[in-house]
Amino acid sequence: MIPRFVLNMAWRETRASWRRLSFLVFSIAVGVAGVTAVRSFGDQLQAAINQEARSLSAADLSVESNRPFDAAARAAVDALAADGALVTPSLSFRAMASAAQGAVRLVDVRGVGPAYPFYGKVETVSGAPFRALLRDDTALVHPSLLLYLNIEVGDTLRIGQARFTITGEILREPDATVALFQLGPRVLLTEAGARATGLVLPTSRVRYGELIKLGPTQRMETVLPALEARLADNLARVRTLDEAQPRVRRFMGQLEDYLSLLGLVALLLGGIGVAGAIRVFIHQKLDTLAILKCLGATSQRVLAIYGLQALLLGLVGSLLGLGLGALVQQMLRRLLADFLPVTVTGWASPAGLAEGLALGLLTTAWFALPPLWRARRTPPARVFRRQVEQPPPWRERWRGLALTTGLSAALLAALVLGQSHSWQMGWIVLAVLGGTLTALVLGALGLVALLQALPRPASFILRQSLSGLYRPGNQTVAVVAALGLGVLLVLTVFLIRTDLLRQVAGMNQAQQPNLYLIDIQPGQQDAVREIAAEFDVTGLKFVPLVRARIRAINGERLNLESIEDDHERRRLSYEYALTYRGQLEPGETVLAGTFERDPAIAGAQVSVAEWWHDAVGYGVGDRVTFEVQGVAIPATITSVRKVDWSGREANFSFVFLPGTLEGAPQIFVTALHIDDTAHRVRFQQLLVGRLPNVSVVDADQIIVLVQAIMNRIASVVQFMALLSVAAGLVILVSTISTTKYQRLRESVLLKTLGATRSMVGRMLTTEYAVLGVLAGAIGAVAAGVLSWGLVTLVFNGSWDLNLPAYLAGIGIAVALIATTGLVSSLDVLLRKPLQVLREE
Amino acid sequence: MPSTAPAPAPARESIIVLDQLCKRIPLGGETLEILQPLSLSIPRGQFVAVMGPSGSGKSTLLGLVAGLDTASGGSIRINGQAITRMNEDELARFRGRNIGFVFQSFHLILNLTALENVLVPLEIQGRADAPARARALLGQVGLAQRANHYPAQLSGGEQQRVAIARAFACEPPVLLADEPTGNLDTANGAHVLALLQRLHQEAGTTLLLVTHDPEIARAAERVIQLRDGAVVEDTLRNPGGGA
Repeated sequence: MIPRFVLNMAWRETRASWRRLSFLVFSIAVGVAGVTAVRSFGDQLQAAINQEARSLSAADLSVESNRPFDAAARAAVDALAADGALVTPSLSFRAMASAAQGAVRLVDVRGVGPAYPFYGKVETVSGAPFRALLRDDTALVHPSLLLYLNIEVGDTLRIGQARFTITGEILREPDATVALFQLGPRVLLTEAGARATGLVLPTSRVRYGELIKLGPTQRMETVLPALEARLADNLARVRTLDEAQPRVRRFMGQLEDYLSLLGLVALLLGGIGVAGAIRVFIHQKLDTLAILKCLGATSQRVLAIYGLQALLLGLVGSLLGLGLGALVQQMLRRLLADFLPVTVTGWASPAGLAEGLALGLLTTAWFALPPLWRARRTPPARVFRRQVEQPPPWRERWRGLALTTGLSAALLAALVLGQSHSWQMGWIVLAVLGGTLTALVLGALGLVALLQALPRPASFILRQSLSGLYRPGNQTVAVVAALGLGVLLVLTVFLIRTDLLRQVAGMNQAQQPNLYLIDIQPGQQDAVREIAAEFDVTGLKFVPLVRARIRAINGERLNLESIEDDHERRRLSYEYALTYRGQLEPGETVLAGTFERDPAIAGAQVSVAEWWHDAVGYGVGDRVTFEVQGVAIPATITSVRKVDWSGREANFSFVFLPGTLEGAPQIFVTALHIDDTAHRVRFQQLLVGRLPNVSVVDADQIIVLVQAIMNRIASVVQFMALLSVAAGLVILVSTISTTKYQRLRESVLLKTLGATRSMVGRMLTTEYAVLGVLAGAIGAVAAGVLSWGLVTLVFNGSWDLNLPAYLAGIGIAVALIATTGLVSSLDVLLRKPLQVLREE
Repeated sequence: MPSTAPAPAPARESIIVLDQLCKRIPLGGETLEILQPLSLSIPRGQFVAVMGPSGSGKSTLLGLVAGLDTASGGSIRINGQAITRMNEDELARFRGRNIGFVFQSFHLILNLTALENVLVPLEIQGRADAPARARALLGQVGLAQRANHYPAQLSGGEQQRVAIARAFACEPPVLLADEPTGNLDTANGAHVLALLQRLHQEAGTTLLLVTHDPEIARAAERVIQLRDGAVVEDTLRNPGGGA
C-alpha cells in the first residue's frame, strides 16, 4: 500500500513539472513505438502466414526433385494415391518466351496438373476463374511480361517449340515465391502445355513435383514419416506445409530481427534520455528533497515519490508510444507489401502492445533509478547552507556514467538474447551492436574531451558556444551517440546500396560479360558460336555443368540424420554443380596439393574449394563419392583451391581433373559481352529462334532486380533508423529545455554586459553546429568502417570512399541539430529573460 | 571567559538537554573548533534566542539540535530521546513528530500551493484531519483566502506566515527558527514575530531562535550569546515569557 502522502506528492510534482518532463514521455514513446510496431508486424505476418499456410503451399505436402521421378519416387506417390490421396503434377523451369513481333524475355514457366491448386486459388486480374482460361494451348502470365514484351492479352507467346495464346494475367498464385525475388515473370501453363515446349529434357534444369492432398483416412502424422523414410535415399524430397514459403519466412524472420533490434536501440536511447531528464530534474529538486526530509520524510519515501512520478510519466510515454507504434506498423506494412505473399491486416497485436508497455515501463524504471537512488541521500542540512551547487567530482560522474552504461548493457543483453532465435546469433548481434554503441559513446567522449583539452579559442562567440557543450547537466555524449547512430544507419545503407549497384552496373561495362547463356545442351555449342560470330563475338568458353550429390566420404556412406550441425548437414546434402577442366582459372590459387593429375592415384581426382574444406574438414587425400544420376563416381581430393567468388567467372566448389566426367549427362553455360542494347535483343531473338531451350539472363535484368530489392530494404531500414534519429533529437530538445534556466541566466548576464540578441543567437547556433559536426563525424566514420566490412567481407565487393556521401551525412546532421536546437531555444532568444526567470 | 551561570528553571522539566556537545572539522592539518564543548538545558515551553556574530556557531548549534548535522562529541536529548545515536531515517521520523522549522529564506516547496505546503508534514504523519487542520492553520496566520496561491504569488511576509503554519502543523514540542525575520522588512518582521509568539503561547511550544534581530531578543525569555563557538552569555530576560 502506497502511503497517501507519497501518492499526493507524486501527483503534485507531476502536475507542476510535466512540461519540463514531457521529454521523458517522448523519449520513451519513440522507443516503445519502435518495439510495438516491429513486434506487432511480425505477429501479424506470422498469423497471416499460418492462416494461409495451406493455400500458400497449395497442397498438404509435395514431393519435389530436380530430376524426373525415378521408379521408387513414383511408386511412393502412387502408393499414397492408391490409399486415397489426390495427386497432381507441377513442373517449373526457366525458359525464353518470345512474342510474335520478336521481343524475347527470360520467364519462369510453371506447368500444373488439372487438380492444381488443392488449396487457395489463382487470382486473375480480370477476376475470371483461371481454370476457365487455362488450356493446354493457353498461358496466364504475370502482368509485367506484357509490359516487357509489349503485347496484350489475346496475343501469342512462343516458348520452346510451342505457341500459347495469352488468356489472362495472374494477380496472385497460392504457392508463388515472392515476386520481387524472381528474375523472370511467371508464365502459367498446363502440365501438358509445359511438356509441349520440348524443354523438359533429362539434362535441363526442371523442378519436378507432385502436389498431394491427403485422403480422408490419411493422417499427416503417419503419412509424413513413412513417406520420408521411403524417400530417404531418393533425390526427391518431401515438402510439408510447415516448410511452405521457407525463404519468405526466413527472410522475414531476419528482417524482423534486425528491425526489432533498431526498435530496441531506439528504446535504449530513450532510456538514456530518461536518465538524463531525471538527473537534471532531480538536481533542480534537491532543495525540495532537503525540505521534505526536514519535515520528517524518510529517504525511502523521497525515493518513492520521485520513482512513482517517473513511472507515471513512463506510463504516459509508453501509452503514447503504443499509439505511435500502431501508426509505424501501418507504414511498415505498406513499405513491405510487395515482399509479402500474404495480406497482413490489423493494427497493433496484443503481444506487441504488451511488450511495448512492459519494455517502456522497465526502461523508465531502469534508467530513472540510478539518479534517484543517489539523490535520496540528499542531506537535509542543505536547507541551512545555501552553497552554490558544485558539479559532482569527476570520480562521481564517471561512476554515474559507468552505472548507466552497465545498466544499458545489461538490459540490452537481456532483451537481445531473450528475443533472438539462437544463442549464438544473439551473441553475435550483441557483440556487433555493443561494439558499435561502445565505439559511438567512446568516440563522443573522446571528441568532447579533445575539445576541452584544446586551447580556448580566441573568438568570444566560439569560446562561449563550446563551453555550452560541457555545461553541467549537458547530454552531449548521449546526443552525439544517438544521432551518430542515426547517421551511421542511414549512411551505411546508402553506401552499401551505392556500392552494390555500382558493382552490378559494372556488369554492363566493356570487358565484362552481360549475357549469360544457360542450359546449352551437348552438341549445341557450335550453333551458339555461329550466332555469336554474327555479332563479332568469338572465343566463347563453354563451361560444362554436371549435377551431383555427395554419397559417401572415405568409403563411408553419408548418414545425414546423424550430423548434428545444421550448416554442415546442409553443405553435405546440397546438390552441387561440378565441372571439369585441366587448368586453374584466373583468381584461383592452390592452397594444398597440386592441380595436376597425380599418376600415383587411380581413378577420378577432384579439387575442392577452400570454404568446403573449412566447412566440413575434409581435404587432400580424402575420398569423396559423388552420385551423378544414380551412378557413383568415387574421386580423390588432390588439391584445395582458394576461389575468388566475387569474380564474374562461373566458380565451382568441385573441379574434376579431365578424364572422368566427360561422358556424364551435362549442360553447358557461357557468358559473352555485346555492347549495344539493340544487338543484345537481336542476339537473344536469333538464339531463341534456333535453340529454344537455351535461357539467356541479361545483366540489365539482374541490375533492375538488385535495384528493386535494395531500394525496398533500404527504405525499410532507413525508416527505422529515423526512430533512432528521433530519439536523439528528443534527447537534444530535452537537454536544451532542462538547461534552459542556466542558459537564460547566462544570456541575461551576457545581455547585461552588452551582448546583442544576434550575438546570443550566433553562440547558440555555433554550439549546436559543433554538436552536429561531432555526431555527423562519428556516424560517418562508423558508417565507413561498417560499410567497408560489409561490402568487402560479406558481399565480396570493392569498397570505395564516397566522400560526398559522408559530407552530406555530416551536413544533414548539422542542419538537423542546429534547426532543432534553435527552435527549442527560441524563448531564450525571444522572451524577456526577467519574465522567464520569475517563472522558474 | 566570563560566563553567566545557566538560568535556573526549577518548575519546568528540560526538553532540550545538551551535554558536552561539540563540533570540530579538520581543515588542512589542523582542527577547526566550530563549537566548543557545550552543556545546556532548555525547559519545556521556553522562548530562547541565540545571538552572536557571523561564524560564532549559531547555525551549527541549530543544525545539531535539529539532527541535520552530526556532532563530533557529546550528546543531545530532545523530549527525552537521545538523537545523537539515530540514523538518518530515524532522525527524519523524529523531526516529523518533534521539531518544526522556520527558515530565513522560507523554504516553501515552490510547486505546491500554500495549502499543500502546510499539508506536507500532516500527510507525512498520516493524519486523517490533514486538510481541515491545514485550512485552520492558514486561517490562524491570516491566509485563508490565499490557500490556493503558489509561493511565487505570495509576498515574503506571506510566505513566511505559510512557513510558520507549516512549522506548527503537527504541534511539535520544539520549534527551531533560523533568522525568521532576516529576509523581511520591519513591518512584516514584527508581524511574523507576533505570530510566532502567539502560537508559542497557545501551543506551549519551546522556541529556539537564531537571530540578529534585537527586537526578537527583547521578546525572548532567555538570550544565549555565542562567540567563537562558545557560550559567552546566557541571560533570562523575561521570566515566564511573554512580551
